Amino acid sequence: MLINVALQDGFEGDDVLIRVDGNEAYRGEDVTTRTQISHAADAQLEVPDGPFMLEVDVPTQEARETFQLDPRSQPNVAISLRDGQLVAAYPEHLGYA
Amino acid sequence: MEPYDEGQALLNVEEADAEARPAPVTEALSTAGLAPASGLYARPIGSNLPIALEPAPNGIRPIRKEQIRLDVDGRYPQLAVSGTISGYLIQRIHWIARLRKIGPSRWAGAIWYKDGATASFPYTMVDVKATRSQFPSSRSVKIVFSGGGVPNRTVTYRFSSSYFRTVNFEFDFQQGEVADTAIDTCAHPTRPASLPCENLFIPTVFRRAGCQVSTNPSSQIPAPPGTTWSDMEMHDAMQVHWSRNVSKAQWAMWVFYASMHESGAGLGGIMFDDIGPNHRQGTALFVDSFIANPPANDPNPAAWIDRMRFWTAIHEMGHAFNLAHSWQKTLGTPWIPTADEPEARSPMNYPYYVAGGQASFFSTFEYRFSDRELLFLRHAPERFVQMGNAAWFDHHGFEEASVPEEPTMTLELRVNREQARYEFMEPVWLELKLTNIGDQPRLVESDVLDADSLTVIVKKQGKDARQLVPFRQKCIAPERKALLPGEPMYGTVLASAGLNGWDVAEPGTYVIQAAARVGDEDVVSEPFVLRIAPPISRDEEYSAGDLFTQDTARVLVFGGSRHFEETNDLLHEVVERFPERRIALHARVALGNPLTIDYKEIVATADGLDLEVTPAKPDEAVELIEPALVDEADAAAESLGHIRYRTVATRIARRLAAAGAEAEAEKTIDSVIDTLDDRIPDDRPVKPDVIEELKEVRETLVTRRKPRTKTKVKAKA
Repeated sequence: MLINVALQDGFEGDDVLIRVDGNEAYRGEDVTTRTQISHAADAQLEVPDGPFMLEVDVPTQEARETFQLDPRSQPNVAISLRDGQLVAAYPEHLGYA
Repeated sequence: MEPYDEGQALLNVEEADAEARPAPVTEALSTAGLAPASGLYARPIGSNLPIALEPAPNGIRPIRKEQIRLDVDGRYPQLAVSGTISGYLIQRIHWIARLRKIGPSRWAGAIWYKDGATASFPYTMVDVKATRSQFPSSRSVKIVFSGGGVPNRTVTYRFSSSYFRTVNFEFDFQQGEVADTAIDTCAHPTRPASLPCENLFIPTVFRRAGCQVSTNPSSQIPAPPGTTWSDMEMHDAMQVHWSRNVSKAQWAMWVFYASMHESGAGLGGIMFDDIGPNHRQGTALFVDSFIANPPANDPNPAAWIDRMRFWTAIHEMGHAFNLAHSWQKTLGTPWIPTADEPEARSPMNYPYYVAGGQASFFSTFEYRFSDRELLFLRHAPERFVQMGNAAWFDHHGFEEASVPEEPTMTLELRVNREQARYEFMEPVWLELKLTNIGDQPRLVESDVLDADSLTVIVKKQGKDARQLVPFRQKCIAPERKALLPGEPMYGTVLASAGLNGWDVAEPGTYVIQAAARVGDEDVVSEPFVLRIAPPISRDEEYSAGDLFTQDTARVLVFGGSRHFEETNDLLHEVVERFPERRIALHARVALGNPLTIDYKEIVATADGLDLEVTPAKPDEAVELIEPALVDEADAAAESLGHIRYRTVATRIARRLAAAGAEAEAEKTIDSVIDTLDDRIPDDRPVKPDVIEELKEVRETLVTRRKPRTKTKVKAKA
């Protein structure tokens, strides 16, 4: 099934690599946040129907984090970099303003 | 721009947060039934004296304008009072105090935030007494400022407005769309039980936030339905269609109801205006985006859409007031240390981001900004909030100067070259000439033309203006000298760099303006335009990054240093790689000058600090300096400017003579005399008395040399 992943606050010209259960699912270069909409990039990723591991790697900021997700309850994932740490939120909807 | 506390330490997040939070008003002290006290109060009253003689903090006299914003009742009171004191030229003080009620219509509290010329405003406490009245003209507020080790200052202000800010909105719309600026607050069943049912207009939301709102008639933008918009296209449309479009900061914004952004339905709206020098003037909402897609099974889809459109509009308009998203408050450079508010029911939050999602959000959303946001909107310094406001002092640098109608002094900025064009990497030294053009002698401070006494504004074309912050801030007892009618005095200033970086470095055109303070008069120069040429090689371009550092600027300003070894290595490299360029002249002087004296340095040792003296190296100094000040004397005089060339060369000649290099000293001073005697830039020959003075210096050097020569002869004999 598909989940929506958004890269939000804290990105500044970064390389971003996302893996789903260890397999590369997204690669972004020069990812930069537009602060007035809290948006840097987004993607739809094909993921297993059940729980899986989402690994986010931002080598340009030496940040890496793994999140365990269940796409049935967490269809939207918002990833931000805050104080060098990758944090995830699971909003009801992904939209920007 | 720092939060303030009495211990001179910055507030941490929790403390600033606590200060920013309004205290609850107890029922016993409520003001129900009384005329409101909140609002904008202005200008000292109570005497017939001109404003210039009203009570004023030291250093900001005379006051040009003074306002306070009292925020203690009415909609969403923040129990705060803030004030702005404007002096002449660029002096401005902004302060905020948190209040607690101490009696009928009386409040007191600590000043917790100061911005601007805060050294002139030492007060730490306020005692506020309001005189209420149903008649606005009879309302006033008396504030006693105390603390800070100075006598109390008491000022009475007259009521000016019930609002803290005045702002204009224009709602334009794309052909086929509607600029719907109202909402029926009870149309959707998911809402706070206590929410009053009303037809709420966007301007009303901002009026309740403290802004006096006016609106312009809407206009239609002829773009076919379905047109998508890029940010640049919207910016262009704003320039054409917004009736208030000007390239300057103003309390006005443009709101565009468009169909869709080019990025797609995922973008509901955007404050798109981060283009050009005046940001935050233009916002847009996309009525065909996701905000038009209600959740399945919503009980009133039409009302949901209306509400999301309304929310998007006030959200984007909040960005134009410089409000960040609720969860973003700690990112970037907040105006005070603050905390994120991820669960806030504020227009600046995303409804679908809070716990429980949009249904939870709207069940407690009251169409109001959070208290911290209201504090910012009402009380933050104007430049942080006002739409289009660029960096401090941009565009209107000297509009507030106290320039008399018939000035008795003039200030001239000038250079000693035919055209004010500078090579890339060449430091820009400007000369100043202050002249008494009146018919009476004038007393002026002897340091009036020193860099730290002047106000120098540098503006690169297309960029924000910046105030030069000189490296040296001296503390001396003021001395005055009489400037006779017609008499000038001169000074020099390095315009290239100061404590806030290299202001004149990149290729392009710059406008520089200076102001000197003589008594109560601001003597303002005409704008001086100069141009920095582009680099002539890739090599130069690469080297510039290393050169344009604060250490290099410091070494150039102070005429060299033995301490900054890395900088000295860099300057040696400059001399070797760019021997024909002007920067090499400056580098040679900076490298050679410290070698002319026994150089003292305080060094850390195992036993503490010790004074280390490195003997002068006159031979090495000459090797560095002579190619600049003697061989390239004409270029040095042009690049350093006549005054600095003369000053530097004379000092070096004296030092060389003292170090035993008398012949080289004579050669240097002879070169100065010959060069300045010959140069006539702009038909301005060097004054004869300057040349005479230099010849006298030469005489002292020669006189000094003769006995030594005899001694040597005797010794040989």
